[in-house]
Amino acid sequence: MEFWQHLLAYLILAGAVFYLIRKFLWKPRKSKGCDAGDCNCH
Amino acid sequence: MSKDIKVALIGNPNTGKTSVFNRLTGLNQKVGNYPGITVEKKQGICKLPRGVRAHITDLPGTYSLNTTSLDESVAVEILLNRNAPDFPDLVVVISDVENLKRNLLLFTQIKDLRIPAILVINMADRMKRKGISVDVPELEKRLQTRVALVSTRKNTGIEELKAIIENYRCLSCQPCMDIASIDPPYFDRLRKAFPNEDLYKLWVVITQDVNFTPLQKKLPGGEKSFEIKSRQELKKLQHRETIRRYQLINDILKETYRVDLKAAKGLRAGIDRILTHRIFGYLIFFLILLTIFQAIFDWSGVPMDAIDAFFASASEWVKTSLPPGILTNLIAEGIIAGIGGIVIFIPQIAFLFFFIAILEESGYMSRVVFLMDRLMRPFGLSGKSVVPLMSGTACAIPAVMATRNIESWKERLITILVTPFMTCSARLPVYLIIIALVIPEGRFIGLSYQALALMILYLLGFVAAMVSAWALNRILKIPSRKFFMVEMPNYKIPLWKNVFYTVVEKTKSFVYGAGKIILAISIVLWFLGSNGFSEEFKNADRIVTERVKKQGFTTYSKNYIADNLDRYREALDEEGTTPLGPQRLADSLDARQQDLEARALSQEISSYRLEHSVIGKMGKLIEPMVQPLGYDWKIGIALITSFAAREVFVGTLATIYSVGSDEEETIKNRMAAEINEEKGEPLFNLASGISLLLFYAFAMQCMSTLAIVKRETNSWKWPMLQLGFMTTFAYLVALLAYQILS
Repeated sequence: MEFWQHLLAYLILAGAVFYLIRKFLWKPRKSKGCDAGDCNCH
Repeated sequence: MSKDIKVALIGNPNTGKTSVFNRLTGLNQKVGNYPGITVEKKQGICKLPRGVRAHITDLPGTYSLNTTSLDESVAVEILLNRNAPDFPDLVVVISDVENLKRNLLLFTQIKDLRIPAILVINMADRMKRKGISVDVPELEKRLQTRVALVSTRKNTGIEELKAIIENYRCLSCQPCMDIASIDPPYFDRLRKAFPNEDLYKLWVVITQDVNFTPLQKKLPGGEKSFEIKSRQELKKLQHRETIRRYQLINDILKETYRVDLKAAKGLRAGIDRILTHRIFGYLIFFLILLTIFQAIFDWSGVPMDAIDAFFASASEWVKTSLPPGILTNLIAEGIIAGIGGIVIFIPQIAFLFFFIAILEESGYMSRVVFLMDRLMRPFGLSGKSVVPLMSGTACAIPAVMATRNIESWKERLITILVTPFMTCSARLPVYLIIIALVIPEGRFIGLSYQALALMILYLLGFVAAMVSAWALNRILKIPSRKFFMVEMPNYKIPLWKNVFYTVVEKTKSFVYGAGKIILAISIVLWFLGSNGFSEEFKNADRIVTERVKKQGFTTYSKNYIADNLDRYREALDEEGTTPLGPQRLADSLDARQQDLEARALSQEISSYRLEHSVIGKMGKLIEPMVQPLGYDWKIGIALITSFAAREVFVGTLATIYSVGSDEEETIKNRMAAEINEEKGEPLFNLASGISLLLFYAFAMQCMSTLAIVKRETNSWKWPMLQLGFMTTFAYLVALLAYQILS
């Protein structure tokens, strides 16, 4: 039981860290033609 | 004159176009007042004074030549094809006197097609009542056309209109603007590829294809190859064209169109006069704000307490029901505490957006924009800056994006830079919890101190934005043109369905948008607070137990034990158990004291462990910086994590205090129980609370806002300046406040 608790807890931690990195540090580029100016689609 | 003439009537929906058609042709048609009644081509004959017959076509209503629907496209198609049997000799553009600015966009586009066009200003009977005056000769001169003031309701101006139609050959066909100016190289290539075609007509054909594909229009000239820009690029050029046209229209109307609210009559005008009055207008706006803040505090207390208690018991339930271990602790102390820290504010945020939605739906918000324009001018802003600033009370990100409709770059830049001072909804949780902790619950003339404090903070944000704008207006040396026009909608009873949707949508976006970040940060923080590498962390049990044995409990623990014991004794007295005998009473008190001492010891161990955990070490590192502001290392950690988003502050503290406490209490109680170890007094007192409130009022604690400012200004210079200035200013103000109050 302790093993599974540790595994699940650290998986949750990994998910949280991954989410924060994606949110603030590394963002995938948006599609071409839409990120350059005020095309009013954002 | 022998030849019959073909006349096309065109205009925005709801300008009374069909009424003008009826007056000219005498045909009896039904006229409605809902948008888009004219969806098919209608024709009639009008006899002009000298016997000339005008074949009049009533074209479907359209806002511009950039069509998006089939019926709009029908109107534009007729105007583009000079060989078509319906191609008009003259276009009569019908406009509504109250919405002239919007209507003139279509007029200038038609004029640029080099078709003779005249302007009819309909609903002229409303002018006196609305305090509107139009300088017709000047307008004719600026637009190089003839203008007819018409009232189909009173049947005035129709004969003059007929005379103008009859003399249409005298009209100038000069365009209003040079379309090539929006992108000279592109239009140069276009001109070379199609030397015999009118440039603006080509442009409209090309963009018709962009906006409305089903018609599949072909460029004149058939198979000639011409490298066409992508749809996105063409759209961008279209936006540029629209901006240029509105700049031109603003310039024209500034000289020719006046609205004097003092001269306006009628119920709406009467209400407008009061709501936009120099003194009463601001007073009413101030009273409305006060009522909103009062309601936020008074109505949301019960649901907030219920939510707080629910999360406290949920945490307790998880700890007792699930098998002990790291996952159970993570759920109880990290996840539930973190989520609880944001869900608790749903009632207050919902109430805030409920009131904002009512103000918008009723039409009052436009009056606020107009009212505030007077206030904005001396600060280098315009009434248009009010919309982003008001939006900033929800979130600075859409607010910064909303500055795109401000034509002047200087005004836009200033608005972008000062908008983050406005109290956004992310600050609300921080304000609410700190106010509840440090501002007493009393009332002043029926108004709670807490509501007043919240309102002062909102005003403080607004004042900071204004003062910064004033300074920036003097510092920034950017040449700019200034003008302001706003369309005042009619007053109406709010549509409750719309209000409901706004509240649900805004609350949902707040909870889901911020909730995910808070949850992720809460999980990371819990791990950092529950793990440590130092010997002190690993041997916390032994070290604290030995210290307590040698030196006794800390002052806080002693007070905790004494207070709880007193309460227990009082409870026994009230229950009447003392008659059982002094020995039983002493035994009972003894047992209770041992229980309390065990709890206090456990709490001291948790606290010691937290202090020596990874997060504790990080907090201690920055403590010297935040100590002069009255904060401890735990608040320091919350300040850092809330740089991601302000609302993370409460979730962070809830998680940290939850890790550092064995008691399953509500967030507010946990924070209230925190003690400043140096001074032995509550950590959240008036001085530290005010200092914290002021720090959050002025600090740029939002990564997403910085990112959006970078995108909108296309440079890191402005967001970095913003960050540096706001954070330094916030630190200094908070420092000053704490040093004065403590």
